[in-house]
Amino acid sequence: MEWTSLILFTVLAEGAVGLVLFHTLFGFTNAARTRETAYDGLGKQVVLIAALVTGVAMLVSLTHLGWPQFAFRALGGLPGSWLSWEVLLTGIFAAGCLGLWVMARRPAWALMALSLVGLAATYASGKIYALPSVPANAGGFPPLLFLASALVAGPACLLLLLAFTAPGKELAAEWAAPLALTAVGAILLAGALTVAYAGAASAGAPEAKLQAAQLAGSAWYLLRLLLGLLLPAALLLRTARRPKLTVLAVLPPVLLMVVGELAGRTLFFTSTIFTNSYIGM
Amino acid sequence: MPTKQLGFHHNIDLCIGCKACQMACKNEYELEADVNWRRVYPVRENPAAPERNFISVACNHCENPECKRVCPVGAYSKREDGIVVQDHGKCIGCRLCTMACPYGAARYSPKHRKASKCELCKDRLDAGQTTACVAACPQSALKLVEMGKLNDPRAVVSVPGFPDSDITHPNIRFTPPVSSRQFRRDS
Repeated sequence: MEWTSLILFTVLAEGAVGLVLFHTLFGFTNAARTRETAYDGLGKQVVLIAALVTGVAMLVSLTHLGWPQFAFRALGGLPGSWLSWEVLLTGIFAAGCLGLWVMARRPAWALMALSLVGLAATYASGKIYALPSVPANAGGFPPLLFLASALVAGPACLLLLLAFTAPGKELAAEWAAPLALTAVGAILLAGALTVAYAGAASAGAPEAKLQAAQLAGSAWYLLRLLLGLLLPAALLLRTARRPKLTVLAVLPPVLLMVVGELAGRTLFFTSTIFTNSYIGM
Repeated sequence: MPTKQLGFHHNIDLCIGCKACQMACKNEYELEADVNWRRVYPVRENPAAPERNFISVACNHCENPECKRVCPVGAYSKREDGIVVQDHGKCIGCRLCTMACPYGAARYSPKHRKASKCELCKDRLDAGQTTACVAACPQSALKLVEMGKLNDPRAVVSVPGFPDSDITHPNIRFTPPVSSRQFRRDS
């Protein structure tokens, strides 16, 4: 499928950005301050995973290109092309993650800078698809949808690390409930944006209306909302009330969210109606 | 800034939809079967009516070309005469221009793994000839014009079905068809 590499690239890269972002934000909690060694130990694993995931995402993205061996040329479009910014910022983010993994300790300022670079990369990634030739996207929804994906994936991935890693287990008692609630909040935000995106499109140009009808009429759209957002939100609320991080408690909602994000992104790309398709171009 | 701006004028009233322009372009540049730089589309006045009108569209060499804006390798540029040209050697086949052009002018070739588009037969123009599509039109419905000097009071920027021209300000003008009337003998 033409879009597969872009779907995988964007979702994986946003997951990595979200992971680093929420690890950085939770560094301001009391638990992180009192258990500094555990926090930094978890941070080392977070940046390594983020570097690997972003690296894999970038490799996958190369398969979209006709001439992947010349991918480096994509930096030539600065400062005008958002695709050039995406490549540059994602590259800096991956290299920064790797750099922080190599370092003995990961200072808070470096994590914050890395998170900002990651968010900027996600924003640039979304801006690529805010094209006037796609009226449904021209209003600026893509960057918001992409940032929401990072917000959804971040706390979910961090919950997984709390359940599966030694430093994570040390922080789990204090982090599990707020992280689960943060994930629920992010899911609700992503759900609202998903509905608002289709709603705004249905009130737009003829091509946007067509895209909205295609979105709302798709079984994937319902699947995305129910199984990818509402069900994991319900499961995570239960985790927030009884924060015992077993594999059974964490894995199902996280897997559902991953499937939901992939379904959402597949819908985003495959339902695109271009201005030229209205006349049959 | 270009010193002049070349573009197309398509008289829909004269066009018979023969696709000679499309084929001439294809022959001139030996394009693959599914790659057409120029395309002829039927324009239906309403869904119940038969197809009577056609528009012929290639790259419109826009004032603000989206292909140029989005290209990550800087392959697109605008010449002095307003022609938007692509440095084919620079293209890495990311296909962003094919998504960004409101008129679908840039086309991706799976064979060459690159995008390409109409360059207004720049080599023919430089040699003092006209474009292949204009030369092939049996009705003289398609003309190459200097936009500032187009002298047709009926010429319009857009026709129903043509994408919003406010996005990129395309350099194409249409002469719309005269409304057709049907005559019927009742008895």
